[in-house]
Amino acid sequence: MSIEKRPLALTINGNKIGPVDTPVGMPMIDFLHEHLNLTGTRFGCGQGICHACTIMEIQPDGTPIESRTCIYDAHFFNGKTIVTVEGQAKRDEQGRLQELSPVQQAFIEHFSFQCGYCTPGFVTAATIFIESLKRQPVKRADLQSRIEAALNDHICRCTGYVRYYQAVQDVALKTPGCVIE
Amino acid sequence: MRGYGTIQAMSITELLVDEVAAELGMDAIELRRRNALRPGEPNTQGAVQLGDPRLVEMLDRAAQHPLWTNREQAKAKYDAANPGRRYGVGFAQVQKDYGTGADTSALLLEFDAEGKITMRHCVQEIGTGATSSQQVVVQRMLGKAPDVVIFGETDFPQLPLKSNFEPFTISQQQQDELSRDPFWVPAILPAMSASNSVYFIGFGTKQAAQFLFENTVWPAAKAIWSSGPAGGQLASGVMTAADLRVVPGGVGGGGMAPIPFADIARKAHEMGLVTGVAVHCFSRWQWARADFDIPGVGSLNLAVDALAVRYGDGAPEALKARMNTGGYDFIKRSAVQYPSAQRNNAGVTTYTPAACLVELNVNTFTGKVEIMSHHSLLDPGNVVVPALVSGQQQGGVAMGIGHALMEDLPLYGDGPGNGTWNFNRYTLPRAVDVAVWTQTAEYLAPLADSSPPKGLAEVVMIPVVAATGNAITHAIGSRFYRLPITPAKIKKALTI
Repeated sequence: MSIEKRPLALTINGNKIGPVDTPVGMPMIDFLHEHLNLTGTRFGCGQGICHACTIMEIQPDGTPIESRTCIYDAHFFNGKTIVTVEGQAKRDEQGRLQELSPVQQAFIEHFSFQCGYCTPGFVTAATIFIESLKRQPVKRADLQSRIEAALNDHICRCTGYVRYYQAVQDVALKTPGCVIE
Repeated sequence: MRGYGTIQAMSITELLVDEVAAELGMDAIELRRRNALRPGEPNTQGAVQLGDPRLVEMLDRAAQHPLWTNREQAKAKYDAANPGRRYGVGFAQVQKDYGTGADTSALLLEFDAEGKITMRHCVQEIGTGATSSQQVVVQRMLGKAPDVVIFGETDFPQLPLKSNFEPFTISQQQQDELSRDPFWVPAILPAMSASNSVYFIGFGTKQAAQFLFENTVWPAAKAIWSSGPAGGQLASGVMTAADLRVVPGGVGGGGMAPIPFADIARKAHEMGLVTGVAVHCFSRWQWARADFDIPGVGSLNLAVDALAVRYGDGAPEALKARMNTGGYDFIKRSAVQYPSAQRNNAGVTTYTPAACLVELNVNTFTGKVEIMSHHSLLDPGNVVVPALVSGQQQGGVAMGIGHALMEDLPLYGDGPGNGTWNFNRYTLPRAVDVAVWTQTAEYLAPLADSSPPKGLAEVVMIPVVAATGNAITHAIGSRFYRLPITPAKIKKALTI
């Protein structure tokens, strides 16, 4: 029995990928792991519930949204632009790390993660949340509830969420234009 | 689930303590206070705890917390203002052991003539930050963090140890016979379990750093402070190793000018002092001790059961010739005092107390519980890295709330072994379930700067379970004897 394949082309972390013949029905996370060696995205429940496998999908108008890679096939992303956790930090032309993103840096400074399994999903969700605040600022009094609404889908078994949420609050308060009185 | 086995029994026990208090018409914290273990009192197995249990002190603090003192007024006010919801506050306190009863630590700590410190360590990182805390221990004791660290080390050629790996079942006679071999130890490497890293594995780190501090840093610093005109800055006073301190700028104390670690290292190598040490420790609820005759240092009785040293660049050739075991001189112990095999029966001596107050409301239509806030109390001893302690504590509370309210698996064939259980029906707490913004905690200040750090990653999840159950009882008057306390169980209780 042969596996049916179809060409897949997309942009990942600024790099054009494909067209590459890809098995039909292959979950996106398997494509990232097995074809591209982008192993930072975590496979959790495989049911789209824990959100560990979340990556950033850039919509045509440039706004990022969360997409789960365990329940979406690789071909769901055909022609799209995505950013995985490997694409969050600034790198030089040789791919060497130059600077962590503000969210990544805040997670480190706040000791936000422990085992780290859910962290790529949290980095992605928090970054998208901060980007949304840049477009539409939140009142200071509403910031905590907005963080909770934005990140509540993401399950963490180690930390009790406190240090993730405090870090995101910190980034929101320090990023000009995100929070209004 | 952290602390498996104990969380189930302790949670139900703490629910029953509240029930007993109600039967007696006594304040639930006061009942606990009257029955709490005091220092030096044996537990149910006859073991006497290391140090002050601090249970009474913690209970006294909890009893004064506004959540507890105002609970009846708060309930009356909340229930009147929120038809369909009932307010409750609950409390619980437990103490949980840390360590396994056969705890070990093994590491190598050395520095070169430029002051570059290298640490090879058995500790494995499982997300608790154990690798960070071991480095901080070294930094605090030597005034400089290691420059190179290798963790998860399982092979120390400098310590060619052997074991029969039966620390829990060994007879006293067998232990006495085997321990005559200076290469024998009851167990070689630790598991990463039982909240054992900061105290038990860190104990080895402390022994290694302390050895270098006392036997290398001190003589090197003394030589530097004693050089120059008129015998140097040290000559006119009286300073001993006990006065030596890590200070800003390096090593100082006794009023001496601080010396950067790099200068200490250069001097130590020049003098041929011990510049590297490899240690192995063992505890069976008591640390093994052994005697070592160390060239250039003398005879020492140390809380380690195996020791190897490396001599500095300036050491005589005769000493360097002894460094034939992984580049180190393995110092055969001349005598060893292992904790009695009987300690396997007497049980645990290292405990951490923790308590929790939970404030919640119960929706009487849906049976759903909303945790409004919680306040944790913990005695962590001397904290090594505060953010790691609070991180474990916050995570433990969230896990405990899941255990109390939502996490459930059936037994036998329909249970987790059938391979179909996942997060779609095994519900885990999310941020909205754990009062992420309103939770607070207080940690008892250490009794002294020499109080050891305490293992805590398991105990922190336990009191919140029973505190949640006791709060539900306060809210609706019903008692529950099986966890989790689900909306269905609450609705059933409300209709009886």
